[in-house]
Amino acid sequence: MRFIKNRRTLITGASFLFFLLLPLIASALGDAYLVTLFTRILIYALAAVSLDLILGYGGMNSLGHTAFFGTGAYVVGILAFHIQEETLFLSWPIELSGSSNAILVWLLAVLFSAFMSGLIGALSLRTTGIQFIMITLAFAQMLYYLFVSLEAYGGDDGISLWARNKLPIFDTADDTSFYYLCLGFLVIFVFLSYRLVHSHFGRVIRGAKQNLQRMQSLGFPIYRYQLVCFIIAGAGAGLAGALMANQSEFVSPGLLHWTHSGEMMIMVLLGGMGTLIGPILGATALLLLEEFLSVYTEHWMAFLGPFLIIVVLFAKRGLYGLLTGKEVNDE
Amino acid sequence: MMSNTLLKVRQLQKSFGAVEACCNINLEINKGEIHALIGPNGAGKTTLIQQLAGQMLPDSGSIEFDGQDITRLPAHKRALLGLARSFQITSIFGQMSAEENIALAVQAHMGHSFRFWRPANKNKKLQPTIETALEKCGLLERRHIVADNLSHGEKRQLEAGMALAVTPKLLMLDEPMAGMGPGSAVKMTELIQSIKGNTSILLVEHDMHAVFNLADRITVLVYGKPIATGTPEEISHNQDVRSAYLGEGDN
Repeated sequence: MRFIKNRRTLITGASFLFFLLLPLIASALGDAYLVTLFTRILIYALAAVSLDLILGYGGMNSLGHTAFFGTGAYVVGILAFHIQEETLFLSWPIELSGSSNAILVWLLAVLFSAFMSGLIGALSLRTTGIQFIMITLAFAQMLYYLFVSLEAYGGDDGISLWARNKLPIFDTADDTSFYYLCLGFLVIFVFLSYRLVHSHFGRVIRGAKQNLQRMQSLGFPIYRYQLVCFIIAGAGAGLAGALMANQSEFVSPGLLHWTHSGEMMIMVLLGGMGTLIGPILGATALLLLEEFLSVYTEHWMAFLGPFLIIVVLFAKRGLYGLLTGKEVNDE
Repeated sequence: MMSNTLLKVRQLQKSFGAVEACCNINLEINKGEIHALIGPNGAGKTTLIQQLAGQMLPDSGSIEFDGQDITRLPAHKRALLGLARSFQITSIFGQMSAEENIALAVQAHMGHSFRFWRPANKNKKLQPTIETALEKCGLLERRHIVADNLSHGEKRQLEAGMALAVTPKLLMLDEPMAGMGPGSAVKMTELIQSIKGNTSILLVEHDMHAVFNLADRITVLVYGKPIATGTPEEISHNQDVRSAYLGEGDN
């Protein structure tokens, strides 16, 4: 037991150290692109950890997580659009302009994603199993087509941002600074999630995954707990989306496409469901493989697929399970 | 005057298509008694428990618990009123330790669980209740074992322990001894005996030896109809019961 625990600490510590030192490694190698790539990895890791809260811990197999990721990104995009066009976002009943203030915009992105996940979750959580997968998928696709049809905001082409949202003191335009900002958000989110899954609330959520009927017969109004968990996960994805919009300085409906949800799900499965470090490893592995395989062949998915199947088949808890040893239970 | 009746079932009716699983069931359970429900397979015992616990709604009829009509109340609210059940097919949280299984049962009755920050396993308030329950169901030494790794008998003990943890007013045990070896069955009988008094028990069981040892009253259910209710003495001498059920093999 002690050994496993040590290995867990080791892996967590090593990953953190690696991410912390990455910009130095990149500058030593003289490869500035690495920072950009790993910023994306951090952002997707954040989204994947939030997805794992509902998927791995809560047993809610949502295929619509990208809806909240996309919502967060579009909040950034739309508010930036109005600054760029010098138009009002809302002229009645009150006048609202766009904004490029990071604190305000990101907070709005998180709140609005939380609101959307509350709405979608409230309806979807009336179902379970395959119906739940399909209904979350359907909602995400609805949002996707909504943004495709929003000609005012670029429709299919999306919105290009002229600059990143601005923070006081902190220079978000600098790639390395922005990288550390994303790392900070990821660390904070993982820490909050860690507290969450070990709290009373987390225990209820884990219980609901393992045995819904028993939870009800013990006296838990389980729907409420699942909904709150769904909203927390949606808010996390919203933050990731807002960061993504800033990183790439571009938002498009592609962010909301269901394949994108699938990709996040793969990150969680690959890294290890029901763990907090797993999704980070999964996001790293998937995006790196994607990056390097695509250099050699455009059919990189043909190689990625079998790899994924092997990992999921043979490692009970994905890469994290492989690294920590077999006997990993829910933490 | 407080009535002595804890659970009152009136003309409960439930059918699945043409099959009448519960046909006009009237049943009363008194405070503090062990009331056994026996009957051949398919008599509708589990269906009745499902309806009492709220996992299934009756077509018609009423259920009154502790002076309150609970016929349409959702399962979790019934649980909080003090109506606990164990399942015929072991229903536990396989990936959690025995202790955490019990902790969940206790937590359910300690107000809402929208507590996001403090580690749940360090909550001192739950601890005494958890320890008592673990001791009652005989799993104190096995508390840290992950439930999936417990033996079948231990799983059944845990199953009962979860229902018992919060001292329910009525405990419904659905075949608690199913698949148990003789040793474990004796343990379970002792466990049931030890909680008698504070908690009323509705016991569904095929082990006739245990039933006649434990029960204050017995109701016999055949094809969804109660054909007799009485003390073990009365039931063992009841001709209808003998021909319909008990004597089936002997005659």
